[in-house]
Amino acid sequence: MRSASIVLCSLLFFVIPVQAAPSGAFTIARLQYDGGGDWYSDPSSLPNLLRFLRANTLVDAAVEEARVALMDEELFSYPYLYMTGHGNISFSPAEVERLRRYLESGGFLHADDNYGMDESFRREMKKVFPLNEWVELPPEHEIFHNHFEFAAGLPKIHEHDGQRPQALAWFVEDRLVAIYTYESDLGDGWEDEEVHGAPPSKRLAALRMGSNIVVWALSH
Amino acid sequence: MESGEKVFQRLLADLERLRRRALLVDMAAGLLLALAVGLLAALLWVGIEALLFLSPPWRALFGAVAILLTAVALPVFWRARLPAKLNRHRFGLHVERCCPQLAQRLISALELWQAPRARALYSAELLHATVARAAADLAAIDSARVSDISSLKKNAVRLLAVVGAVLLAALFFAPELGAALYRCAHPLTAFERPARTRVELVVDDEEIVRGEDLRISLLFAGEQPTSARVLRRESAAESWQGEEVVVVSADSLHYVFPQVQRSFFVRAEAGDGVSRERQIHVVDPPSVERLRLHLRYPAYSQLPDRIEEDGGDIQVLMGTRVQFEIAANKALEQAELVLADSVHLPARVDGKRAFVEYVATRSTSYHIELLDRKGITNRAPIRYALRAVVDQPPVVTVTDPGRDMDLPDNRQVLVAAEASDDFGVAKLELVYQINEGDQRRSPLAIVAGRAVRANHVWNLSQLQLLPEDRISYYLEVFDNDAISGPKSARSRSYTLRLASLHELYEEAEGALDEQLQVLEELAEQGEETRDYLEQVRRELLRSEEMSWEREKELKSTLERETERTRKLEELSAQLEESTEALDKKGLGSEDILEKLEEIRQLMAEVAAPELHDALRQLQQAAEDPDPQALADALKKFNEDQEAFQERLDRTIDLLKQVRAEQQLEAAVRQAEELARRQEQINDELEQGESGLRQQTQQGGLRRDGERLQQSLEELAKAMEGMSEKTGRELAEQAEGMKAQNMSGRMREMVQQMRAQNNPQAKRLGEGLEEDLGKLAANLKTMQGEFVAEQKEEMSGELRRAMRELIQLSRHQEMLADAVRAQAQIDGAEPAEDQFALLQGMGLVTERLAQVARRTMSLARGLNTTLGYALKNMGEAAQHLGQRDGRSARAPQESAMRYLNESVVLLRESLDNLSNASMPSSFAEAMQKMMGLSEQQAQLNQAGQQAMAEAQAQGPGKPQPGLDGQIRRLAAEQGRLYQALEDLQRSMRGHKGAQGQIEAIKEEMREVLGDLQQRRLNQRTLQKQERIFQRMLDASRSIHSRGFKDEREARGGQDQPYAGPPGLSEDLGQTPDLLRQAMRRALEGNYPAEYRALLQRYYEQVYEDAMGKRMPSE
Repeated sequence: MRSASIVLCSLLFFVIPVQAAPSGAFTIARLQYDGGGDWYSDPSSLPNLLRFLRANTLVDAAVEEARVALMDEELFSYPYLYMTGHGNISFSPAEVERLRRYLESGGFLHADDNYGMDESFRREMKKVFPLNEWVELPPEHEIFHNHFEFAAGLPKIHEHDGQRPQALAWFVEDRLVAIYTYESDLGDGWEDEEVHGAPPSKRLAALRMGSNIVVWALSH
Repeated sequence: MESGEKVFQRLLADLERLRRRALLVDMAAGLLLALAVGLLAALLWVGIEALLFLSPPWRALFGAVAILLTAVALPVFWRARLPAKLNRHRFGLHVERCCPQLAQRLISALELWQAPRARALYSAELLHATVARAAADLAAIDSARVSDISSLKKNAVRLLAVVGAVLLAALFFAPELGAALYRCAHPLTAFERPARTRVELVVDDEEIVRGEDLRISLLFAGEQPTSARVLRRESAAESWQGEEVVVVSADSLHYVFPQVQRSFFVRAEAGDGVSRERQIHVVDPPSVERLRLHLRYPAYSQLPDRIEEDGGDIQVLMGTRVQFEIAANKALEQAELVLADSVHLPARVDGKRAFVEYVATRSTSYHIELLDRKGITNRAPIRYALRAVVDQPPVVTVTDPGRDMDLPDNRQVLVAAEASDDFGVAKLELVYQINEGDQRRSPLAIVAGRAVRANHVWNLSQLQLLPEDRISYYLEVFDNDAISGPKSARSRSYTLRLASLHELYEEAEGALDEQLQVLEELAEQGEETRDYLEQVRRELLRSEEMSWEREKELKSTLERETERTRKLEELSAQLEESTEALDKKGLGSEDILEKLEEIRQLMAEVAAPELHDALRQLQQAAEDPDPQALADALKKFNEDQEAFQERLDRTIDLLKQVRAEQQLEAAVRQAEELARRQEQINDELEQGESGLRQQTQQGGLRRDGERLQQSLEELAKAMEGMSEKTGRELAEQAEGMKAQNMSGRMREMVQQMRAQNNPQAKRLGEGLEEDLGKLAANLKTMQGEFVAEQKEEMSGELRRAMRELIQLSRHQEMLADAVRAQAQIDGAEPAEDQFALLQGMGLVTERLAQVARRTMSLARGLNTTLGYALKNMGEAAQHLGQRDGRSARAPQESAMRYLNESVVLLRESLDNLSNASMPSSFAEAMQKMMGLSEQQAQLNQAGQQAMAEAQAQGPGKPQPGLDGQIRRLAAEQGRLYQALEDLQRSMRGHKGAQGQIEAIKEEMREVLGDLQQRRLNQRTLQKQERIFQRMLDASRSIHSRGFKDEREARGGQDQPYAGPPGLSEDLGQTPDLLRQAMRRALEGNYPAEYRALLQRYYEQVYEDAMGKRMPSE
């Protein structure tokens, strides 16, 4: 069954035109936010993930990541936003409204806890959809099986507090609009090998999980 | 013979026949001619009109001429022809002319027969003969000879020629002639002159499907245009809109309206010509407005039918019957379900709806094809996915303990698990294995369902486990698939380990040693600080100023002192943890635990707020420019600090004492445990079991025995300072172990077991068991003696102090009476006596301080009463030294009172020493908590079952028996609440545990309230679940003795999923009514300005609402 879903998913890539960034190919837009947090952390992570996507999926991924702030005009040109950091995050009321519209209009956000952003990120997202709650995705969820197999759910890439990793999802009108990978630190696993010295198996798991999230976002 | 008259009459009849025929021919010829003339005239009239576009008068004139000509032609013709045929005589002459062979006989017969004169002139026979001959000749004449057939033919030809001309003209100039004919038919009407360029608009189809392209053609006549304008408008009220198109070909133009969405009018203009206006009607293609799916799952899945109102992508269990109900936007002629673009399943059509059914046996894609009654098909039907999923295997996760751990003392482990399956969990089993032994299975009680929870108290006490034994276990879950057989899944495997007592003691004592070491360091630092500050004070008094360096140094020292007090506080907390750890693991006697708790309190008093205040005051004084003020502050701080330091020293001494007692206790228990283990191995040997497990056990026993021997040697040295006798005896026991060669005998026993020499091994085992038993008994006795000796020694000290205090009190009373009796004090004797009493009091106090360093049994307040007694005795001595007996009376009386109070407190201390209060064991309490949590789990399960039964009855239906069930649940919950209260009472002094229990009680009160009001709903069950979780948290401490750090998962290691078993039904969403209202409003068909207003209004409302929800923003 799972292999069938993988085949189906692969086939989807033949028929679903991947939304393109302004430059043509698909790219991941790193969200530039205020509040003091290091939105620019893990600089080699996204280029590595894009390279992995090109090599291992049918996504026509760009070489470079894009960078975008919530109030930028081209925000809606990017179907996939990624945010990370270790510090505080702050959205202005206008940014809150814009992010809400972006997510309601079909955009997708992946927030990766790089240790330290949890409290402020949850606080700011609550402003975006005050009535919604984060929902933990169980290992059976398709996002863990749609391209690469993660039978036990979200992999643990980097240790911080010894807590278990959680893939938290935000649903709007039953559509998964944002995923928050908490206590897993996928971004560290996407970084160049020498940055964190993560073992190859962990790096591979991180890249595969990242690919699953991108594939999910582009095919739903 | 025929009479002449008859012949004549026959002649007349023949003549009349011929005349009528000739007359008819002429009349017909005339008519044909008139027709030809009329037609020609009309053709000319119309032709002239077509050519000249005549004005109404001229058109009417030409018309009149044409009519006149037509009207004249007939009479003229007839006038020329008809007279000769109207008269019989003239016709006879005409016949004679046409038929010369008659030779005037006809005319003669006509003239002679009826003329009386002629009849008289000719004979009758002649006349008869003439008439007869004429009649005969006439009868023989062909009528065509007397009729003008040729005229008839000519006129017919003429008419045909004219008709041919008309047809030719019509053929070549139909539009023009047609228009001219129309105008000629309305001769008096003024017509507008036609354009030079004539434009004809040709539309293929005036009805077009919405969204499709409309193709039109323009045909030009007359003057050829170079461009044309194609115009459109949607209603007559609108102005025409269009675009200029260059005419490329000679006489036509093709134009496409792309993707037409609405009906409209179209026309074209070219040169001065305008085409006719045409209306294009846009019709909607058939489309699926709603797809309703009725899913009937296979019977084995026991899933109820499900209806999806807005179907699309389908994911169903393989074998599910999917009924499609298609609602179209218009009446349908035909509908089909098309699978994978290839298989067409016709649907039953009923007006706008269609029905079709399909059994999902494989994953595929599908779409709906529709055909309406006009023959239009639906455009670009959406392709949906249809996924036929197979029954998935179940999933099981161990949520508690969910990790490897050591077995608790009671050998009971609460195993909590969550299992789920897409169609139902049927069975859950605990599968375990001791070391490398056989696998054993134990079914767990569950309520079958899709997601089940199990809380199983696993009692391993019956398994005859020995230290170092490892029990690996996992849970196996089975689903209810009755078709292809139950599928199963296993949880992650975990290990339980039975740690040896030595390990546990080593761990617990390590923490105590570390704390003692830190405490000693802190005490040393305190001494140094005190010396340093005293030095600073003296320097200040000497020089009255302080150098900058010294000032910095002082500040730095004070900061260190602050840090030291903080560390002391930390240490107090750590000691509490150590005490709790000892208690949880059952490693300390109640007495020892009590002492440790009191030491902790003492330590907390060392770092009391007074020390903080003194330090803060000194820090403030250090900022003061007045050196005298600083010197005073230093003096005061040093005095305070001395007192604190004394408490610290006492704490250290006490801790050392307790540690030694603890070590002795540990040695006794370890010896007992070794004896017990040896006994168990011997029992197994007795049963013929001498395998690897027994050998490993014996090996472990040997190692622990060696460690015990070493511990005894170390303890013997540590005890030397406290009790020589105990120290000596401990050394003897260690020596005895060595002398008995216990380690060697144990090693040999292992070798014998390996060699299968069980009798020999058994003999060795029995000897060892006896020796270990003796060792344990000796150590136990020694411990008792040590405790008794210590107690006796301290009791002796206390009794002695009590006697001395009584003595002092009696002397003080006598002295006071003597002083009171003297009106005036003459000599120094009373003062000397008072000083002697003061000195004695000092000695007693000093001795009691020494005792206080070894026992916690001294009553609280004793130091205060002793202090006040000393103070008052000092004051009295001072007054008596000044020979002021009056002033000495009051302090003397106070001193006596405090002395007497001290005696009372000392008696209390003696009681404490002999009857030390025994707080209930923390571990015991936690075990009780575990039992309660088990009962709560059963109660929760009963609640869930009751709820499930209630739901099965259906909402609003009477539920017989439910009320009684809830009443029973309430009673049971009340009983648990009462038990929890009892437990809380027994745990006074354990603040952490008290807090935990209080939180549980609060939740329990809420649940109890719900149940007493006969309210059992999902929230009640959730609260019960929380109660259970809290109880687990509280009792977890008893079996949370995890492996050491190095055995725990490290960074980046995968961890089992421990979240909810599936996604919540609402996916974390709560309907946002405001936003929904806004969307609904904006979906209305409003003008743009109104829409903008609406949007602004709702955004403002939304913003206000959000502001209220998030006041902090």
